[in-house]
Amino acid sequence: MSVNLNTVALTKRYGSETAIDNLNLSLESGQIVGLLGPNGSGKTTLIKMISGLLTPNSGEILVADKKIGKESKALVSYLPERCALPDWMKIGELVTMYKDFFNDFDENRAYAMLKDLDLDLKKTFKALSKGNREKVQLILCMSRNAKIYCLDEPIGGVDPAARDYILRTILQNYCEDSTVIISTHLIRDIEGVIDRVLFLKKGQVILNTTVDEIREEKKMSVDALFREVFAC
Amino acid sequence: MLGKLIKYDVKALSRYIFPAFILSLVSAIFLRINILLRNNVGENIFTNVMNGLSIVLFVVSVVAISIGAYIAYIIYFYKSTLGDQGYFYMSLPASADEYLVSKILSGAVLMLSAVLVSVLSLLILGAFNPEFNDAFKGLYEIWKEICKVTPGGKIIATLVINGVFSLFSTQFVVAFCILSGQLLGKKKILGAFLAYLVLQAIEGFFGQITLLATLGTINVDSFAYNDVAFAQLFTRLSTGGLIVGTIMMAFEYFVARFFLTKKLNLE
Repeated sequence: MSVNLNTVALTKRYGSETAIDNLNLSLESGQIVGLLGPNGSGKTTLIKMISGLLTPNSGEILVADKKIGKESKALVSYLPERCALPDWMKIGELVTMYKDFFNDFDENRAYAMLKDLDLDLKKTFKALSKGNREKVQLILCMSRNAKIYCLDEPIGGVDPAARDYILRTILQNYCEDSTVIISTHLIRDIEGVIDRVLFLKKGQVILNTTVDEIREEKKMSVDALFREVFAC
Repeated sequence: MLGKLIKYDVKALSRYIFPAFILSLVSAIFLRINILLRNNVGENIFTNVMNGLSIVLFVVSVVAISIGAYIAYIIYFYKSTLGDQGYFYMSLPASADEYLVSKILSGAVLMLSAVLVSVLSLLILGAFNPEFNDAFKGLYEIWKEICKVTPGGKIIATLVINGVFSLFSTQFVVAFCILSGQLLGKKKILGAFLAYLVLQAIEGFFGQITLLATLGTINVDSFAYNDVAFAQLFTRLSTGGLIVGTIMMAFEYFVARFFLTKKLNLE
């Protein structure tokens, strides 16, 4: 196993508010990591910094020993919580665009998954329903052979059947020498998928352990532990 | 990577402005047909109304192209950098320089296309038209007068350099304003507007210094109704303006690059 992600004294502030507070984290390859925490705990901020969309105030992030920049972005496959693709483009054009921009993109995999969804490649992105748009974004993201997959709320706002599809797609398509980071509130849905759990509170990791350890040592599910730790 | 970025930026930008291009060409043809109709059939209510409509359509299309190109560029730059699409474009494996250069070059393609379509529209309107032929003859007479006081080549070179300059200057301003607008956090658009005002103040200040410095090199006594001195002043002001403009563009680029690499804040 190799270390795919390393953060050292990572801090991000928005004005007087600290979103990520002196975070030290190391994630190895071959894991699906659930990044869990209440609203405002810093999950999205951390994912955006790994993806190069936010600049930290201090500290360092290394993706496979590379600083955040052009080289690290080639290793990170990012799925934002919003629709970020040009909505005027057709699905087929989006696949071509991903192939153009990312050397590790597997277009055959993408076409196969799109075929499973029975989507017309000539349809524009904006003509799709919200759920289908999320699925297309996910397919494009997971069709890359990346070192780190950062999925920000991939199952929020879609129906349960779509959630199952999304989680199945994640499990079936990530590379085994990569790390998948999933940020979500829907813990029950992802509990069966994740290997490791990171509880984030006020920008700090308060728990970093495997799902098996939680079940064996604490004799409870991740969802139950989350409710206990973050009880209001 | 740069080539690919340019390809997709040009593709995206052309979507915004292409309808205005079509409108301009169609309205030019429409106006030309109406002028011919009026010349052949004579004036009546129908030809006057059609003529009026076609003139309005043509003017609207000219305004749409000239202003629309700038607006389209500003909207696209914002959306693809700090808007929702920024979540995609900013996560691409591209350096800040590649990203900025792509935006600048694709913007230049947009501006050049707007100029070419405008020229084509005018040609459609004026080719083989006696009224326009007289106008072109008048312009040629003015050109001959200008060439008496300064070499024609120099004027052409100045115009070409200024033309090329103007194809790129807007993109630098937009990049500077939008990226430095992030300083105001969630009020990015207000921040961009304020950055524009600051930039105008800086450019105005250096523009005044350039003007005074240039006037200082001219013999004021010989200036009074002296075509040569006037041509000299024009050339020196153009040169001074280009130097100041180039320095400003470099400043705008490096500030934009700084914000893109060190202060990017896609909230």
